[in-house]
Amino acid sequence: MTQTFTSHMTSYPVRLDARRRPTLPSALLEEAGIRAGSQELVARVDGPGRVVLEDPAALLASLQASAVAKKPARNIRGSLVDHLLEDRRNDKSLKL
Amino acid sequence: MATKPSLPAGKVLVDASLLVGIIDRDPDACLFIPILSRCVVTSVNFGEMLYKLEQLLDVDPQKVESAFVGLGLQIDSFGLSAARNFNELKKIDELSRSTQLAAGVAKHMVKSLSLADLACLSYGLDAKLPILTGDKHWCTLNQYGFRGVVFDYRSPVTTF
Repeated sequence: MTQTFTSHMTSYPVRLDARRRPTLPSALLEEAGIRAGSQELVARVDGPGRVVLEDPAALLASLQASAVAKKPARNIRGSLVDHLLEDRRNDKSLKL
Repeated sequence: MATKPSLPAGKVLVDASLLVGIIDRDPDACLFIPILSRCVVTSVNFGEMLYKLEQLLDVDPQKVESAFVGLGLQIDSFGLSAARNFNELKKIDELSRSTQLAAGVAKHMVKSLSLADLACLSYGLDAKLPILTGDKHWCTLNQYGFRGVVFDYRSPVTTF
């Protein structure tokens, strides 16, 4: 199911305990479409004092959507893989 | 009836082409998303994929890394023991090129191995892992003495 997000999302205070564990409010997870329990997430630093916690599948889907949407404006036709392979064919670093 | 080639169980070495194909929503590449947790890529080929996506489409490399790492992809450093296979691979490449030329392939159409190709193929040899790529040329290398096993993810017979 696709979830629609608005630009006005709620902020929730979160405290880290002495063992670095945060307790994430259920409403926060619900708003993000993240199920508590066995779902694997990925965390990364996104600047000073900012940690992003994401569902990697949702992140991948968003990267895919963004990449595919940008192709016409960049005049990229065909598959990106063919561009990569073309790049490799033009690699002169090993040519005699 | 011929048996369909299929990826063996266990770890699989993936080339940058598979990861680029996934970001491009290539249906053949996306079939392999569920097995990313048993896939490994060299840091060299991962870097190649990151720069290509940013160069072509301004895709944020940090987010791409997060997505693939979060889905279980292992990124391994490229080391000396893999690099030692370069000599063998260059000999295979030279044999392949001379065979293509002898068969009448125009010089500018002759397929050869780039540095990025060598990185993936040599790591595969060193780690004794099957290799999954979108480059059909790699599938021709066994006839010139390549000892590794290569699967073309764009081939409809590659299953897992």
